[in-house]
Amino acid sequence: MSDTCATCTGMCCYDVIVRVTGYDAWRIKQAQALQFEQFLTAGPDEPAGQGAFLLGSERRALYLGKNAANERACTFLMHLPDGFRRCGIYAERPTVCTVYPMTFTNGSVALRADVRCKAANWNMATITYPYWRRNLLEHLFESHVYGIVAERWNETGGKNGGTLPGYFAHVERCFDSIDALRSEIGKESFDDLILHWQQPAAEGDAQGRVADFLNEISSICAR
Amino acid sequence: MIAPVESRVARWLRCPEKTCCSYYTVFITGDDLTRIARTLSVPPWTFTAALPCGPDDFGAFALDTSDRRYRAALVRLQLEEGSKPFCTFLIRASDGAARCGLGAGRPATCRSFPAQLVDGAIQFATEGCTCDWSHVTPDAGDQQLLRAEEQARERYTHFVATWNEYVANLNRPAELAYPDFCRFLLDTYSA
Repeated sequence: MSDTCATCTGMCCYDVIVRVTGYDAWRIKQAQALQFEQFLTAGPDEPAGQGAFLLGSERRALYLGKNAANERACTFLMHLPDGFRRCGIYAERPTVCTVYPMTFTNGSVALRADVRCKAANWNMATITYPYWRRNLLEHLFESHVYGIVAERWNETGGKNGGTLPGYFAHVERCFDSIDALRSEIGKESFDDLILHWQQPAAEGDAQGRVADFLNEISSICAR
Repeated sequence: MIAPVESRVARWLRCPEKTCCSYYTVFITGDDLTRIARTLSVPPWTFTAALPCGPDDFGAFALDTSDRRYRAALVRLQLEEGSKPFCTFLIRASDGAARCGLGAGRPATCRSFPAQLVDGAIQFATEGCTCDWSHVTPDAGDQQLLRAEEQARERYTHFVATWNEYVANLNRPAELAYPDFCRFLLDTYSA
């Protein structure tokens, strides 16, 4: 954690609905030995985003559930003495949480306009830009991958009266294979893939490798 | 039917009740205290407390020149009157299933639960636990973990003795508080 986080009161985990990707959900499920139903809700796809899935005619998205002790808070938020709040799944928290409170503005790392913690806490001259850039690119990449997983469902199961347990089974099956594929590629190569996936094709063969990976995912999830 | 083999950690992790996190007072070492404080960026005196103990108890430290001694333990919270206090780091999934918010960073004594070394052999001490441990057997990893835990305890005993000696030799009326002991640990363990 950075020194900035020492003063954190967890406002980003309060009064917000955390939309997650399928891989976020899969990682949390594995690490915490939970079932999807124990920590996820399937809410309306509003605002519309990647990873929307059909349950009948309704477009839904996956969100983290609310805290049993405080319904304004994320289900995984720890409430410590003296008002400290910390994430209880820090190592496997969703990518949207790892990038908070940064975003890409005109292609550069920047503080979100709607930041809920004190903006003055973030010294934009001294933050570690490569760290934030990598995390933001990973978040965009994961969202894109999850979009493919959801689309494959929408083409088949979702249209035909698909149920939430059915969708969860689809997500689990897809990400079991995607995670195995990632292991096969190796962490270093996968990181390289993430860093280059939005660059023009002229930047080498990275774009081709990204396309191969995404085609493989599409194929896995259609089976 | 043959029962499926399950590791000790997997059995503990999937337990929805985690009575071990309310039944026991979790006494910790300086290694645990400093690691958790640094990981969470939270002062250690917010999530631990000094509980009175006997002079010969493990990790017994002084805050003045009297015979009074204390041990560092994780704070427990009681949400409602009459309800059981539970560890401050316990989180609950939407259906109430309990999980440890510290994950792999939890105290050594929690990481090895319910395994204990008794005369060099591992035993499971499951008092107060509602889990069925009958199909779980210790493995080599548990042995390693417990040995490391022993070494951490020895190290902590040494540092506490240094602190107690410092307190005993104070020439002025002691005005030490628990955060002073915590600061000593943060400083000592960063060396």
